[in-house]
Amino acid sequence: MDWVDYLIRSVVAVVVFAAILGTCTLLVWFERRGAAWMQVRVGPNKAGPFGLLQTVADAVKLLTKEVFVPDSADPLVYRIAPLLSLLPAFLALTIVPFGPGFHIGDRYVPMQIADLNIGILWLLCMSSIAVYGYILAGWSSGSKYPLLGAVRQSAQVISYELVMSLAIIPVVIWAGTLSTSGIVEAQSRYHWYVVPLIVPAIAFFVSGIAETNRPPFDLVEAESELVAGAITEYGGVRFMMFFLAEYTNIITISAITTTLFLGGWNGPILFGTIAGWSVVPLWGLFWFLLKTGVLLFVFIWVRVSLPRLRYDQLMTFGWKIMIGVNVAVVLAVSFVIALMEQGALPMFWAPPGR
Amino acid sequence: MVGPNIAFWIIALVMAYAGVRLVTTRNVVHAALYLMIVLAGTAAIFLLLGAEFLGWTQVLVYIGAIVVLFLFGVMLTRATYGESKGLDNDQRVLAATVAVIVFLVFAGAMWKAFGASTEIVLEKSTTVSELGRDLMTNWVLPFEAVSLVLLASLIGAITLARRDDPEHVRDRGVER
Repeated sequence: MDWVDYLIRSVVAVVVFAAILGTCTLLVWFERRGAAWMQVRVGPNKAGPFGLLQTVADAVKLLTKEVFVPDSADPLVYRIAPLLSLLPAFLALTIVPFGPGFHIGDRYVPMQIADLNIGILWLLCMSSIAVYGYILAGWSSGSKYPLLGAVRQSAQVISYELVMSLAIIPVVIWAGTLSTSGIVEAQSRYHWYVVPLIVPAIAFFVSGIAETNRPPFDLVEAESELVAGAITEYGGVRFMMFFLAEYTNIITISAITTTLFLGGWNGPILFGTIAGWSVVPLWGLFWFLLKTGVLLFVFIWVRVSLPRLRYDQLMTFGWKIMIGVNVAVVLAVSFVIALMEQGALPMFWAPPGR
Repeated sequence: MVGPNIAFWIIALVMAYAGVRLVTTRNVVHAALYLMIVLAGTAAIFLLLGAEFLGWTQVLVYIGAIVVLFLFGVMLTRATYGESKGLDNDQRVLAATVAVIVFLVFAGAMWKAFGASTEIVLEKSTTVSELGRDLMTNWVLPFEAVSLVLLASLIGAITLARRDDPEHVRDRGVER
């Protein structure tokens, strides 16, 4: 590692960061315009073509609003809470491999900000730290609806984080590694894990929807009961940080689902070169973005289609169904892998050699 | 090895300050946040020593689950803003004794293991698979013992929380 390598990594980080912000903008637009389209309404159509600039206009409005701290708030915690929400959201995305790395000259350019040995653990850590943003926002606002939102949030996230971890364990056992790039590589040699592990795949995505407080799991900010939940007392830039964190989390969940279960950047390479230039890494990026895009669409589709759950339904579903099923899957997968390694079962869905 | 030593002292000082504030603050939620800082410092020291898996597991389990549960409990029961009353009790002597004994035990173990050496020895970091294999072969008995303790406390918690009197059951009747 010399300074050129650090420079390359910094450029990758900046490009990814910019891409996330851009995707968030588009996602907010599609959330409104796409929902309107599915519900036979018009949606935002004044700012720019197809209302595409609506999000930009909203961002400018939020940025120019007055920054304030309510009288009854705990001032320091009130200021820290939005940061605790936004930072982990961005940090979680650093472990996602967006495509296969490639060489320019003798320099290696990774399409991933950080390739950690313990990649998946990092994701779980970041999502567990992100909880603090909402809980502290709710408590520090000094008002009753935010507090109720915060209590709901902590209960919901603790429950569904268990489901999420349990859904990841079969993948880790199957791939034999915690590193995200290792998991993608293992899937390029054999099969996408969604084939043998369809149950954890669905469980991961559903618990992802619950972790991001999206409908039908949005009891945390149920507007008909709690105004806006934990972030009721926030406005301007601080509100925007929570908003941005929510959409970044949606992107993270989609990208990680792609990485863990849908083969990451793996996909057919239709042609290898354009005018003598190798475009193989671009195909990786293309397939990754396509898969992630489809999952983002599903997020909004689900939001528009399903009504909100009742609180006891949420808890029953999480604790009695999801956790039970996933524990059974973890046991079954360990058993199958052990039998395969002993030679008692044919290595049909061969795990990579360990 | 100057860098790690400087980092250690910074982390240690922050942890000591947060530890003192944890017991002196009059605000329960602030106390939980100071506890979070202490635990984060422990994780940082694990990372400093090259124990990557252990460090992040510390973050995941203690910061991500246990302190969140504390906060949840506090908010569900006594979410007062500003200072709360009745945080003190008359068990200071007992608490101080326990603290001193725990400190002596840990300090003794450290002294026995490393002596007066202040050098931080950075060994090759342990991979997760090595850790897992070790846990399932060399240390399987302590591992099982710990899980038994956890199971016992789990059952204890259920027994304490559960009330089987008919009135209580009727109150929960909404659920189908």
